[in-house]
Amino acid sequence: MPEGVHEDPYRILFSETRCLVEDDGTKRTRWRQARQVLTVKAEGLGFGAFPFESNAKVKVSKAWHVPPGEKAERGQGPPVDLAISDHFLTDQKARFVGFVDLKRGSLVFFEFEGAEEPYALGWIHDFYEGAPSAISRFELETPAGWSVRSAWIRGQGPEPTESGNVRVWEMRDVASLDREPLGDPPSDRVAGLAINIAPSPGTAIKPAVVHDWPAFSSWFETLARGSDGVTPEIDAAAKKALAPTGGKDFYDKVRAASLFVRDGVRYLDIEIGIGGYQPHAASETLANLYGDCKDKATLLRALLAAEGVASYGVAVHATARDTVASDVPALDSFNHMINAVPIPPDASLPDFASGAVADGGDLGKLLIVDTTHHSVSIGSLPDFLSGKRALVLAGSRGRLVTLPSGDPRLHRIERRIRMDLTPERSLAVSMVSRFFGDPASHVRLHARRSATERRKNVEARVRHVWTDAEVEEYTTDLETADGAAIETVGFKVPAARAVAGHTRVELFPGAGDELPRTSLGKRKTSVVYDVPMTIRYETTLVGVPEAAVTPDAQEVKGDGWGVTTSFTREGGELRAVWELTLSRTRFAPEEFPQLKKLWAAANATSDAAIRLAP
Amino acid sequence: MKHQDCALCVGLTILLACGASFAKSKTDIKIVPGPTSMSEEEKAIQSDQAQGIENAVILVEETVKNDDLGTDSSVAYHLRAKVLSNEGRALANIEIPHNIKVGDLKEWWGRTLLPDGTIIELKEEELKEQSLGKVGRYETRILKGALRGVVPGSVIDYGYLYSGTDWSPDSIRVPLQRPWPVRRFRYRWIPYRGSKAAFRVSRAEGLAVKSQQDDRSVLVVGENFPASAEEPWMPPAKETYGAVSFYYIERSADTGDYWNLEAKRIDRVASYFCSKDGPIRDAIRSMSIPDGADLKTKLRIAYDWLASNVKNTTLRMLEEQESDAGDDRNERNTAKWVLQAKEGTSTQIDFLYMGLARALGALAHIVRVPSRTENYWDQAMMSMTQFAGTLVAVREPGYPIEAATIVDPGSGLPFGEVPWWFTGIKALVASSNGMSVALVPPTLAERNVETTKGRQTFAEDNSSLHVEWSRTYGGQQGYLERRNLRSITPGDRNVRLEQLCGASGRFEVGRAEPIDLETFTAPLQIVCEGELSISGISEKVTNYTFAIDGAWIARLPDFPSKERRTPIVFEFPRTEHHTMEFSAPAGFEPSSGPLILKHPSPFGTYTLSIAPTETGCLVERDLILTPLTVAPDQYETFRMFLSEIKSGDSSRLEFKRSKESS
Repeated sequence: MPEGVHEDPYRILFSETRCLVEDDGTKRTRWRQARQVLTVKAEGLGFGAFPFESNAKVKVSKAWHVPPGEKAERGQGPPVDLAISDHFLTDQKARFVGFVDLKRGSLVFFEFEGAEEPYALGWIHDFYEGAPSAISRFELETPAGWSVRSAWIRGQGPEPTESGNVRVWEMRDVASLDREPLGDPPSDRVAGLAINIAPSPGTAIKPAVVHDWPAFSSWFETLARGSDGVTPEIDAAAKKALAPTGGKDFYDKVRAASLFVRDGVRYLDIEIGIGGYQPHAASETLANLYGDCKDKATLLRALLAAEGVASYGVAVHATARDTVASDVPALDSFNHMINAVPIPPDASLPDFASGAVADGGDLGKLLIVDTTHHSVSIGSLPDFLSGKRALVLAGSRGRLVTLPSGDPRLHRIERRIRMDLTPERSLAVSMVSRFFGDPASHVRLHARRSATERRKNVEARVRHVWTDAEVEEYTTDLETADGAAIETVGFKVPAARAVAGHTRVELFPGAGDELPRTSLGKRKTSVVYDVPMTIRYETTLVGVPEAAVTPDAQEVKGDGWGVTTSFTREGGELRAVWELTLSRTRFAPEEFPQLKKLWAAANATSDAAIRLAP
Repeated sequence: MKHQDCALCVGLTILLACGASFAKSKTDIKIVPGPTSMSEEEKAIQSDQAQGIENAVILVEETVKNDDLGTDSSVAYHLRAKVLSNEGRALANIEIPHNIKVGDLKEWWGRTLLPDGTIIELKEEELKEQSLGKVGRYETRILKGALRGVVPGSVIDYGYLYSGTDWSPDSIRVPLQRPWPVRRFRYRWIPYRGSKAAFRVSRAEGLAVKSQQDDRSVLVVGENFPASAEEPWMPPAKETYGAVSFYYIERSADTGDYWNLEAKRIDRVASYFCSKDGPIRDAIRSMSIPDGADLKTKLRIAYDWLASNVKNTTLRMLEEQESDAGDDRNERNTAKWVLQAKEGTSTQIDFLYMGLARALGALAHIVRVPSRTENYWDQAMMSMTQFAGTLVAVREPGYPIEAATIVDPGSGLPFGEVPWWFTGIKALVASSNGMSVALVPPTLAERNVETTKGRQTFAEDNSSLHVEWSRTYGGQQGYLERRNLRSITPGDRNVRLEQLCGASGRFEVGRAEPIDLETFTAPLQIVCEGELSISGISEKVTNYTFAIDGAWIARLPDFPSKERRTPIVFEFPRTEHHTMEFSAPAGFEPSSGPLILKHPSPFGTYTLSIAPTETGCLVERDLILTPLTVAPDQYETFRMFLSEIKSGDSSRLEFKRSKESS
């Protein structure tokens, strides 16, 4: 037992997952782990959990405890099965066994075994288990003659050692990882192993054989067959939803149908058995006006079909990055469904929707639509999908595509500020903030959850930036036709304290802090922004005395970013523009000097002010 | 309905009469489905932020909970609500929180009333079972259902009667106010007749709520409860929003004399702990108390002796906890053992101090006190779960309890100081005669002093600013932080210290260290050092201004709203002394003259002094904030005072290019 105080409450000495795939495709998984408690605060550390669903049975669940200097004891009492998902209805459970009364130095051993009838023989094995691990091993045994393909995702791991039909991948000294601000979550920083298994030719097994992504797509098509049928009710709903568009313009039609689904169907996830993959019939979702992502995607397909617009479902991972291996299809690669609508060659899209267009290869250009998230406007992609690989579910034509990684022009914050300077040097300010893309989604999300709380947050920001401002007006337009969210705030700011008789009026107050920052001194991991973006301030200061000096324009550029200012003056009116463009989202530790340069430039340029003489 | 007189809100014990009458109870209510059409009043309800109406309005919520069915209990429930937004539709996702494995759903209805008059039913057989957990053969399964077709403007109406042997808690707290308004509320409770039971309506001042009871049950009814709305620095939710608690009392408890009996029990336990007086006398002898010392001096010496000689195992440094081999200390709950082991838990040290004080001739009593971050003591609610801490009240014989000094000997605070979350509220004083009430006094601003001294120096090329300062916290200032820092791992401690030093993308902290964190009774002291990213000073710049605020000045609370409904409650009154030397940038000299601001107010004083020096400027800032609470009618004045402080803190220093360099 290592001396001293440890940052991790326990360490894994050995962890082994052994998967035995049987002749009929049944998957037997045995998980064994040995862990050592490193703290006296050992509550909750003595339990092991083995997740399973209704297609699996837990056959073995055992635990042993060796207190320091004492004999081993075997776990007593019945195992506990608990629902572990926050879905509305779910069959996702975990079997818990273990011990309550542990000591610092205690060794705890778990062994579980389950038999599962998988829906398809492709999955991802994660080597990170939330604690440092000395040895983490994954062992796979298949019947003779079966093929096994594997690929590392999110990094590179070791090649397997093979012995007959058994393959073993082993990682050593997997470190503990912390969550850091503006960073990837720990689970996204450790390599995972994608596995795909196919039986020998001619062998019939229960699980689907998805040897490549088109096969995966075909499997889904079989599952969803008939669910997107156009019933009279769907036809009527489509006509009603699309009536205001005149039914001609491609984008207008897609937008109208998508808004109907996005706003009209409440999100409700019922994930039981194959229901985790199989959508409900579109007609049922329409009648219920509730459903999960795949239900919504299916209803949208049916509505569009009713109007003669073809579309596809698209499988993607909403929460983790780099989940897709090009040649190794795995069910766990995806946990979310959206839509792709082929864009007719003669159709034109509004400029703001260009960030939602993916190259579908022989499927053509695809307009990507996510109707699950109420705050995401049609023509925009949420930050968590940006740049991800996804599978277009087009039956045997199904293919992987890369979702657009974002364009700084489309994720914007524009603040137009008019400041009227009074003779007493107080300010009457009107600020119109227009948010586009991802920033707009965040505004809508907050405001729709509670408009009152949103207003409070806006007022707090105003008072932080303009000391002691009193907000007098606040209005919103949360979703314009081009997907913008607009907030207008009117407020008064008392005269700033004069220094040496001079008063300073900042021209871009708060601009330098719009781009989130974090301490870099000891940071070892990349700083990651959600999306590339543009932040623009346009300030008009009215009532500027003739003698006041106009600041000089500035331009600073770096690798993947730029900041500019410009100033024009007409009589007592000064127009000032500050714009920051961030076209990259990731800064590795060796690129931190570049990031510091960006932040310093944002400080320097946003500090522009007019100095008013006594 | 008339507003409830507060006197009627006190808790009442329901006395259960044997052979209760079979006549219809006056509290009886019948839970039935709501109308299958929307009333004109319901149709007219719309979102109105000014009235706190956002996503939904509860039109009716009514419950009958019957625990008096032998081994069974039943719950009848009805909810009718108007959905006003997409977010409000979540109310249509229904979970019936009773174990269907040990009971039955006897009745059910659920329907959506659409704005056009259409009714969509959800039948009982459409409810789905969800397993929550299974241990051996015991499983908990509940029913869930989703009402269909819900759109903003719909009314949803559902209800059920569940009957079974599902576990029933000893106490239930039902909030009267929610994030949405409630138009009509009824709750009837029929407790198990074999147990003593009580109920308590709390914080219902201003709410239209009333209660009725008979020999078997209680009915609480109300209407037009506004939505709960949060304000910064408000009292805890339990002391702000209306609620009704239904609870059982220990069967042996005398409900007419509950607090006296509890107080006597506490005193018995503490007195037994100290019943062997030999070790206590030995301890007192080892304290070297001067001959002729008065009682108060003796009590202080004993207090300090305990802090130095008996380790509080509850508040040890994590390093101490981790190096402890562990033994059977918890099995030896006596003063003798604590004195021998030279360590004990917070409560054991309180008991021991009580014994020492009594042996020194003082009247000493154990005090039980709530944490005011959670709740205050409600005497009408007969439950010891309200209390969170133990203190000791000591006084000279012959003096009333009001003259007592309340101390917390295991806390590491000086004699007479107790952790701030126990201050400013009433507490229970336990004696062999029963209970009495004491106010734990709030601490004074002059005892809670934070002193910061530092220097800010520009780099030779004016590209960055080096900032260093040290801060000493006194009294309550930094007390909780210090406890936290001692209890976390070294890695987490470093992260937290950097946060305290203001680490950010603008300020890169190079040094963030505590001083003497190991000493239990020492105040928190930290030393911070780092580089502040600045705009840079080009050769063109002739005048350079620089804001005086930064991580070295704690951010003031902000109150954006012009109106205030609840009192402001601070942690403690405070004093801040800040002294910071600013060097002029290279090639610059101060151009602003001296500045002195002084803002006295009923809530304290703020003083800011900026004086040019040979090398730059010296900024001295003093803030005394005296109130623990600010009443709503003082809000505007207080807000103006804060504005003055913020205005002062936003002052800037100005430097001009010196003649030699220009």
